[in-house]
Amino acid sequence: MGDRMIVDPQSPIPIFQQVASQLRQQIAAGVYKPNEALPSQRRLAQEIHVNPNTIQKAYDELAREGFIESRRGAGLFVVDRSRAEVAGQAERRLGRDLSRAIANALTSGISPHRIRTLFREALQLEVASSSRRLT
Amino acid sequence: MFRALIWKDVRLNRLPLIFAAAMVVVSYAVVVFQFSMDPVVKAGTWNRVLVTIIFAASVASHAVSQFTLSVLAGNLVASERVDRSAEFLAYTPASRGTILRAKAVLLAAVALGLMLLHLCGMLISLVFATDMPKPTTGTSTATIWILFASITAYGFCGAGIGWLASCILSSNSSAVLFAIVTPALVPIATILSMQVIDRHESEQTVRVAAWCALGLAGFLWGTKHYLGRVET
Amino acid sequence: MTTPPIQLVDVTKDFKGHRATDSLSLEFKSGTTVGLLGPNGAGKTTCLKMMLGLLRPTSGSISILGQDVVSNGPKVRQKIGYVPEDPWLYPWMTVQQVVRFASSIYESWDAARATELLGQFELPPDRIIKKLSKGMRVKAALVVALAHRPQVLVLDEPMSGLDPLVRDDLIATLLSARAENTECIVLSSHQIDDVNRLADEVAIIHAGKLLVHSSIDDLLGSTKRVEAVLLDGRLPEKPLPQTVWQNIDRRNWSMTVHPFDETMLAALQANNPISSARIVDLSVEQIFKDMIRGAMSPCFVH
Repeated sequence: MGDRMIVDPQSPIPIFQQVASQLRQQIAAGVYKPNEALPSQRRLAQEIHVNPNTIQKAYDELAREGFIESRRGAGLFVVDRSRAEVAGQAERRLGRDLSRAIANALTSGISPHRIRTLFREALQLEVASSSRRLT
Repeated sequence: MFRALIWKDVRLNRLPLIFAAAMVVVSYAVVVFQFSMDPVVKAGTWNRVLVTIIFAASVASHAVSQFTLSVLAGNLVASERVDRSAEFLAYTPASRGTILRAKAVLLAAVALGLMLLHLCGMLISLVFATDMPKPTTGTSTATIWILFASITAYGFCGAGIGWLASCILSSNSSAVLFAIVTPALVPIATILSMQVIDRHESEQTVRVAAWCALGLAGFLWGTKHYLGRVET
Repeated sequence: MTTPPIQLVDVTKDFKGHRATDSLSLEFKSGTTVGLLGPNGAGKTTCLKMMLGLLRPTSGSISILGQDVVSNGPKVRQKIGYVPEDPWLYPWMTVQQVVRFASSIYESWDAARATELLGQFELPPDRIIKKLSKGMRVKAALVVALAHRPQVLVLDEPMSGLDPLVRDDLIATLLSARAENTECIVLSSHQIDDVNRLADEVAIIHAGKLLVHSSIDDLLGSTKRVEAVLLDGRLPEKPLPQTVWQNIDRRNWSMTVHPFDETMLAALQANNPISSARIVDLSVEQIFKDMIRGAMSPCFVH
């Protein structure tokens, strides 16, 4: 259980979204390459111990976003352009998360100038640590 | 489904059934032993000895069997509450009517089986006993049949009360206790009431009637209660 | 529209001196797994027992697969698999005997499926039920409940008192049951995590009343905590009518709101003496706790 991905039922994020975002990351990282099939809904459900309807919902979301497509009788396949698609999606999500974080910061009384500084520091820290991870 | 229920009830009542069989064997054995010690019986012809023994043993065994019927009836339903299997049975598709019918069939089969066995013993004795003056010391055949009938009524009362107690109670041992005690209390009650109204000649009739009525009431009331009951 | 596999209409059940369910109406759709959540004594077990026709409702009606349970109990039970909280089956029977007994009680018994499940659960066929551990007994009861390929599966606290490995086994089996012809699974549980994995919908009941019945994803989306900061020495003036639970501790005013949408924040800020307010996402367990706490006593002021 949990080999392929980790699901946290205690998280406020719906399980189908947890599954969808992990699949997106796995597609972006090349775990699933273009034109490869994803595990069947039932198999993934059994494997990660999640209701098959939930997996279906995650797959539906990925299909709607254009990462995967169903080929008749053969299952679900990763789409060619999906890596570009992933980046685009990630950008949109980042935008959403940032604006929510900024709104929270503003209501907490942090000045826009201070937010900019904090953002720059966090970015530098992350870039440094990810390049260290790669070398 | 019905066969599985019967199988289950036979297994469930294994002990009372073994007890019933054992009581028959013991009754016959005790009578044979007693009579073989009796010089009067020993002096008779071989045929006469055998017939006397079979007759006496059948009557004795019939009397003892009535207790085993009380035990069986008291155990039939309540024992499933003791081990909580009544709850399991309740959520299966077996209807309460079918469940109870299987138990009734088992009880009736045992009661009739025992009665037929004893009846056969007595009849065979009577058929072969034509060369004898009377089967036992001066008792008329009519008296013997009345005795047989009242023993049967006694057993019917025990079984009926056992059935009722078993349907109502959650403990099979108290149900069995009720079934054994109640028919034994009937003669006390009838004798006392006869003394109150000062009539003695019909006491036996009243007693048999009371046993039959109690038994019948037990079966009817018990069945009604069981069918409407919720097992939790 | 097809009839829903499970339908409770206005079901009230009175026991001597207390009301176990109070005009409860529920409808479970085909193809769903529903988690029945509620604190001890909320009426979950009573509710499930009524669905099986084991208890008769005092008023209201229950139909399973389109049939009234009270008048068609045995017929309906042919199509229901049920595992009670502490299953004992026939304690004196061996596993094999229980299976054989059940096979002649259920018309649609699938012997191959029974054998498969026995193997999968590693149940010793010759062991008597009394000698099995709680987990093994639950598994044996589940074999009986699944081998007749029921259309409706009802489970009362199936995971309680089991170790995590056995729970995983059960979850996997229940998920495979879903893939078969079982139309609807209802499980009551305290293990909200397990419910969250298995179920599509939850119904939260408290004191015999339904608090909410919704898909888990919708519930997560529509239930939010709002954390507001009160101005010095002031108290809330106009809480949101959708507040299910709130708590005031010094200047901190927390409230759980269902159904929530973001526009409510402006109304809250306009009508109350607060300096700020922010939205916090909640887990299913937190939502459950807040709803129950709110139903017990709507407001705590320290």
